Amino acid sequence: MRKRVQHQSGRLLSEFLVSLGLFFLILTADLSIVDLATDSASQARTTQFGLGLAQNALEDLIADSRAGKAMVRHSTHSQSVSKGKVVRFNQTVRVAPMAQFSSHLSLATVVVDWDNGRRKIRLERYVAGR
Amino acid sequence: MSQDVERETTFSTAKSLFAALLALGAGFLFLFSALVTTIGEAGSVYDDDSAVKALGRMVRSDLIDLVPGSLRVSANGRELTFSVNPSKPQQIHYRFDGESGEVFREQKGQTPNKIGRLKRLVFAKEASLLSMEWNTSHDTVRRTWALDRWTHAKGAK
Repeated sequence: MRKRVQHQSGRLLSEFLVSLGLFFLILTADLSIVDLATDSASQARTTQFGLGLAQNALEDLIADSRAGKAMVRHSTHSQSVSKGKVVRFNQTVRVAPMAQFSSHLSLATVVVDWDNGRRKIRLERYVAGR
Repeated sequence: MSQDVERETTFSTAKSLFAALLALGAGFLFLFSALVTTIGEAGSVYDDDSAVKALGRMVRSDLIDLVPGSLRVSANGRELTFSVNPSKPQQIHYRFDGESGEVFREQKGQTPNKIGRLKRLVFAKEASLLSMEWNTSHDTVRRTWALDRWTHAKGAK
């Protein structure tokens, strides 16, 4: 009788352990899917913010009446892109007059980088000084 | 004796089945919650993006034909009005409904175009810049357009 109870207990324990193993196997796969999906969404949002920053900087230059003059300007901008995650964007605006072509024409370059420089957006445009 | 063993085996199988179903249910529950989280996150990105992108595209394409000096922003920043097509001016009106959160584009003789839904939207005119500020689910974002460029381009013609 005792032998049979021991046998049953052993079988139950092994079933429990197998179930536990399967549960953690599925849990790991599920968690990695959720993590990948939220990470992709967060990256898409961050890239959108970075692009918006670069576009705004170019629009500011177009509207600026002194845009034709040579200059380099660095700035930083922090943005909350997802719950509890704040991304720091570094922005560099450079204006280089193109004296060889025109006395009024300059090349404006806006570079926005984040994630320690691993991700970068660069926009270029000719701007006219007035 | 054999009946006892049989009853015990049945009971044990029933217990195993119950535990397996319970575990399966918990697994499905977890899968479902993970799915809801993922769809929610992706949905929030899509909702903010689709409305703002559509609005940005429309405002930008309308501004190309802007009648100089016609742009007006209401005091509360919820309405933007300007005229396009200098040869035959037509008024364009963008309106943000603070209660429903819906953004409309209205043009005389046409049915109002519902662009999308946003939590907050404020238009502002600062010197020769038009800015649009809106709230996403996490932060405030701003987009600007230089107004002078269009008049300069027309002047250069």
